Amino acid sequence: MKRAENTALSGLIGPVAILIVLLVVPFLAGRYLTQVILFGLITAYLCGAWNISAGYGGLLSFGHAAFIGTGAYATAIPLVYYGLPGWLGMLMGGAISAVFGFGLSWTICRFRVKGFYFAVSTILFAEVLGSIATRSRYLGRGMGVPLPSVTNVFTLQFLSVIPYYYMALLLVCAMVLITRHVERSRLGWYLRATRQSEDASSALGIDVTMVKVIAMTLSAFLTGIGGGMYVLALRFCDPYDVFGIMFSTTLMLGTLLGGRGTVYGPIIGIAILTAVKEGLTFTAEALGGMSSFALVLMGWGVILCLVAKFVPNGIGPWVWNRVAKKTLV
Amino acid sequence: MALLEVRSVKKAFGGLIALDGMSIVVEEGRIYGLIGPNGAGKTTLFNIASGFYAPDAGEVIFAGERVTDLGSHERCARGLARTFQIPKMFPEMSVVDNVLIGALSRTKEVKSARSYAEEIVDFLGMTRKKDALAGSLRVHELKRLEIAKALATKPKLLLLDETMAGMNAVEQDQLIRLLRKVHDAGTTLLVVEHVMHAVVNLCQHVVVVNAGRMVVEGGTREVLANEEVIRIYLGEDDKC
Repeated sequence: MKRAENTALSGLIGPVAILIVLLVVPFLAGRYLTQVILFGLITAYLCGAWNISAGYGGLLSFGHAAFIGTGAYATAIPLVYYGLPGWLGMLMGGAISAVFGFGLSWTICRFRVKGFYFAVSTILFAEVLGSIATRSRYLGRGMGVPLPSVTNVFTLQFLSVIPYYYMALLLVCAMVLITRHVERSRLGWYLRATRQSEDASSALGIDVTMVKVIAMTLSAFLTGIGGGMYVLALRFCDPYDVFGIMFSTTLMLGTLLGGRGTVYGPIIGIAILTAVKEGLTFTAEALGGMSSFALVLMGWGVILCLVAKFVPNGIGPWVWNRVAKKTLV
Repeated sequence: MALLEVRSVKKAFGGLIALDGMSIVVEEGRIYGLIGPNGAGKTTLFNIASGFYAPDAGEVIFAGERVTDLGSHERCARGLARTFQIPKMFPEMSVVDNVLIGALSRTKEVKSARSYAEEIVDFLGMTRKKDALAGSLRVHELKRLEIAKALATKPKLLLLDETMAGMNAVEQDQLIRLLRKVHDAGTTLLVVEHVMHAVVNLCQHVVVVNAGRMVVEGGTREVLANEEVIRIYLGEDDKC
C-alpha cells in the first residue's frame, strides 16, 4: 500500500515539473515561442477531447474538425456581430457541438455504421458543415471572420498572447483532470470494454450505443470549447482551417503518437509534433524554395510510420514502461 | 415457474432455416442440457434467447416478461446472462478487470464492483491468474473467464455454450463441480454441450433439438436412452 502511494506520488513528479516549466515560459521565452507553445497547448487540449471518444472508446472520428469549426463560429460570430463575450461563445460552441455530436453518433449507431464507414461518415459531416460556412454570407463565406484586435477583458480579447497562453494552459490542466476522472469511472471502463469487444460488452449489460453516444457528446462538447479558444487566440476564423481535414488529422496523429487511451499521451504527442513542425519549418526556410508545409507533413508521416512500426501503443506508454517504471518503482 | 420460454421461434439466414418453430421451456432452479447434432440450431437459439439475433417469428419470455424486442444488455439487466462458444473477452484487460466489467452492471461504484469481481475470480479458482492479460490466457482459462464474467452480472439464468470443449477430463470434472456450486447458489443453468460425460453428470433435464425443432425433452437418463435421440445422433441404418 505504501509502495503504491509512493508510485502514485512519484508519477506526479514529471507532470508537475512540466507544469511549472510551462507556467514560467511566457516570462522567459519570446513572443514567438510563447505563441508556438500556446497553439501547441490548444491542440493538445483538442487531442485530449478526441482521445476520450477515440482513444478510450475506439470511436474513430476523422471529422472532429466539425466540432472545432462549430466552436470557432459560435464564438466568432456572436463576438463580431453582437459583442457577446468570448467565454459565452466558447460555452455555446461546446453546447452546439455537443448537440451535433449527440445527433451524429446516435444516427451512426442507430444504423449500425461501424469502423471504416463510421470514419467516412464523420469526415463527410465535417465537410458538410465546412461547405455551409464557406457559402453562407452570414458566416463570412470563404473569406472567414476576422476578430477585432482590441483588448477587452469582458469579451476575452487581448492583444498580448500571454492571457491566452494561461487560458490554454488551464484548459489542458482541466483536460488532464477530466480524462483521469473518466478513466477511473464506470464510463471509462465501459469505453475500454466496448472498444475491445462489443459483443462481450453487450452480453455483460452494457448499452453499447449509449456508451458511444455519451462519449461522442462529451468529446464534442470539449472540442467545441477548444474551437472557441483557438479562434479567440488566432483572432481569425478561417473555414478551411477550422473545418479542415488537416485539423482532424493533427488530433489523430498527436494522440496516436503520444499514446491513445492514456491521460498524458495527447500532450506528449503534440509536444513532439510541434517541435518537429517548428524544426522543419526553419529548415525549409534555411534551404529556401522548399515548401515548409510539405516538409512538415513528410516529417510527421515519417514519425507516424516509425511509431506504428516500433511503438504501436505510442511514445508515452513506451517511455513509462521502459524508463519511468524501472527508475521510480 | 417457467423462467425462460421460447415460443415457436423461427430464424432463417438467407435460404438456411436455422430454427423452424423451436419451443422450449426452462423451469427455475434446474440444470438443463441442450443437445443435438451440429447445425441443429443450438447456438442460434442461444443468440435469440440472449438478444443477439432478432427472431423472424415467435416470442421469447423471460421471468414472465416478453423480452423479444429487448437488446441483450436489457436482458442482462433482467438476469439473463450467457457465455460464448468462442470466448469473447477484453484482451487488453486483466482477468479481474474483465470480470469487473460484468460486476459494474450491478454496482455503479467501481471499488465495490472490483471487490465483487475478485470474489468471483477466487470462486472460479483463477486467483493466480487474476492480473494476467485476458489476451494471454489459454483456451480452458478463457472458458472459465467466460463463466466468471457472466456470473459477475448476478444472473437468474445462465446460458452456457460449450464450456467443456477444449478441456481435459480433469478440467471438465472441476468445471462440473463448479457449475453445481453455481447452481446451488441459486442460478438456473441451460447448457449446450457435446461432452456427454458432462451432460450426464451435470444436467437433471435434457432437451434434444434437431433441424431447428425440439425433438424430445425429459429426465437426462430417459432422454439419452430414447431411440429417436440415438437415431438423430448415430443415423438411421447404423449397425454398430
